[in-house]
Amino acid sequence: MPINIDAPYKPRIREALADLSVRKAVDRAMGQLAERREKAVDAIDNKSMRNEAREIREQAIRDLPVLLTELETNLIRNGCDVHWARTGGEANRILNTIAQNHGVRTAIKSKSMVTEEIHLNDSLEEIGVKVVETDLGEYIIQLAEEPPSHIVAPVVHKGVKDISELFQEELGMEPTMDPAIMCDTARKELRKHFLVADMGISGCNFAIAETGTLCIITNEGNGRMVSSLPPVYVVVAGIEKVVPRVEDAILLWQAATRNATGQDASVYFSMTSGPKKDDHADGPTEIHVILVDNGRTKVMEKGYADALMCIRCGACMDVCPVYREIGGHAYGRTAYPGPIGSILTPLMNENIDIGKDLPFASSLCGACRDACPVKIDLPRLLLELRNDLSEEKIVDPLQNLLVRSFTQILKHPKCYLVGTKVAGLVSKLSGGASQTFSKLPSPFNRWTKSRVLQKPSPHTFRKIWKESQKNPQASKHSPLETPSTTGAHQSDQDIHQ
Amino acid sequence: MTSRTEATQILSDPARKEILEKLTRNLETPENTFKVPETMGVRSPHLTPVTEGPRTSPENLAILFGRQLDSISGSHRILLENETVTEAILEHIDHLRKDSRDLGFTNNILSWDPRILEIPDLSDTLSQQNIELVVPEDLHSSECRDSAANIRIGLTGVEAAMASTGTVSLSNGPGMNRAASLLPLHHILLIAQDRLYSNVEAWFEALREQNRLEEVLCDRSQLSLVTGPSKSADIGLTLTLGVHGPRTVHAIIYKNT
Repeated sequence: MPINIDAPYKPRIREALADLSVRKAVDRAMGQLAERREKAVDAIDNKSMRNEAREIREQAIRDLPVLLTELETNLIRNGCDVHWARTGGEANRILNTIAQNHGVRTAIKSKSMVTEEIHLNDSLEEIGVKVVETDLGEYIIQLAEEPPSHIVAPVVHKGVKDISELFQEELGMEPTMDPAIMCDTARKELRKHFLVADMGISGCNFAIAETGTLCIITNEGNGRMVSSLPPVYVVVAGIEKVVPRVEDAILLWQAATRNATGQDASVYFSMTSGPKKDDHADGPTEIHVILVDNGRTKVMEKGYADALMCIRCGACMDVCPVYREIGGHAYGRTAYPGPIGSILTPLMNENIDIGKDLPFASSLCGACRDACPVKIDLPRLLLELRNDLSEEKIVDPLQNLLVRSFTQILKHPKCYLVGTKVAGLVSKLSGGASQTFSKLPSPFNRWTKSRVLQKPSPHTFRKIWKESQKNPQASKHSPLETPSTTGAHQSDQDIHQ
Repeated sequence: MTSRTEATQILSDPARKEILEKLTRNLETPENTFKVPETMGVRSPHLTPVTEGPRTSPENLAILFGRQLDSISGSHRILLENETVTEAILEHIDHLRKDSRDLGFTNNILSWDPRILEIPDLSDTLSQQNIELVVPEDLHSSECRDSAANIRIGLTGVEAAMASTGTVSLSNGPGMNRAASLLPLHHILLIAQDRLYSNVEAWFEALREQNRLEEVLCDRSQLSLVTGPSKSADIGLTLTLGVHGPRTVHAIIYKNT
């Protein structure tokens, strides 16, 4: 059973940490993905690819209004219908109207994060449209009635046995542990839907402004099916997806696939510009493009436009030591888990309570920043966001008070001196041989409930320093190398970083 | 020109205005909009190709392309002077029939219009072997779709083939359907040697130089870059082929006459 993703932050994380089998599966999968990714980016001039990908995305975000208008003009010229939606609700209403106008009964859908974000399936199902997820991973979790846990590998938390049992139960498959047979079963089942669906729905990886072209990346071919077989094709695209030129999309496509799965190129890169012409045998006769804001302008308004450069490759999750321990569901009800999700979720949601704890669910180790193909400085953004949230008094008031008091102490050298002496005294008085506190009285026990606290050194740094200056030979170790002062030094780092 | 309904338009137009206004307002002060801007919106004039593309002879490109396609679970054959494309197709079909774990081969091939494939006597030679090329006219008709859906082998040409990644570009247009490279379990690609490029960037560079971008992208309605057979690793991180698209992709590379 998956964890309760609607539970509050702390119980949710505890539940995630307690699920050892999911933790093992996620860690193994992430390890493999990270390894493949590293091999794929080491094989090329990754520095230049990252620089150029960054330039493309940064320019695109800086020029968004111009590029969006250019995209719209060219899409309409190509024969597409363009709609704009401020919120997920508006996007869903537009989609429902299109579905109702065409009497749609079944819609097939290619994997898309923006449609997860706006809960599009629920909205269509409310008006009686059956929505079938066609990405194998998404299909599995749709059968299991679970949300995805990773943006590239949505079913990463489920083992072969779980999936086999699910297929036996839902699709009447004979018992097997062979993924090839399970895959064939899904192929046959989904093919039926592909052939009769009245509407195809997908997201959009890149929208090329100069030609009015909508690009989607898939490996299974469901993206090509969804955009080719049904008579009506609807593309739901976040407004940040636009890029200026064709060559930009080609570079970003390769950056995304190398970083997402370690492939040189995804199996399919479908570039759709318009509905079929009269003399074409296949392709949709009508294409609707819904350009969705749903919090993106808010991300920009709050000063985090950097995060809109993301190309959704998932590399930041694969390398994140926190994600690898807790998995995607622990990030709560959000389409975007992991480091990038910890920035987007609190900023994009109307209700700030959703995801307000996520920026703190990071060790700020910087692995995500080093991996990101568009060089988003994720730790910096997380830190800025922590600051913003505490200024807006959205985080725990006690935690806020402690951090603020500590900041004041650090700002005044005399206070700091007194503080270190008191801390040293506490350490001495507490006695015992242990280097750590494992249990503190209330309210400080909120810290020691989930982690141990390094005891302050009984000797202050200043004292050790003075002694070492007086008699450098007497002290074999540099003061900074003694275990207790290293601990103190470390906590300073945490605050100042 | 557009057929969008009044209902969505009423919703959409104020949204458009508001979104564009918000973006413009925010971007007027980029110093407040970005935390760590890097490039100030300045870009280098050229993009570097991601994979190296040696400028080499078409023969060498064919070898590179074949090797690359093999490495991603595809297969290929480069024809010698005296071998014909039709014979190579027949041999591959024989191989599929013997080797395949799928029964139920029909004698039909879902195909592009033979006139576009430009292989001399293709239809006639195949029909002597009781194999018919089926060129669908309208896949939105259920009859046409049902018959196409049961065909196990698809045959298409390519717009271009890129050696460094084993990628082919397939566009759709009159006589060039999407279904032949999408619905069947097995896909046979016919690649004339002069359609080989070192990498995908080189092909787009050529298209831009020849002023053909509009034609290839917009006029054809969809361009697909396809790199090997359909695959997934969603179940237990095990590679499985033929999830939705073809399980096998076989390229036959021939010299143009």
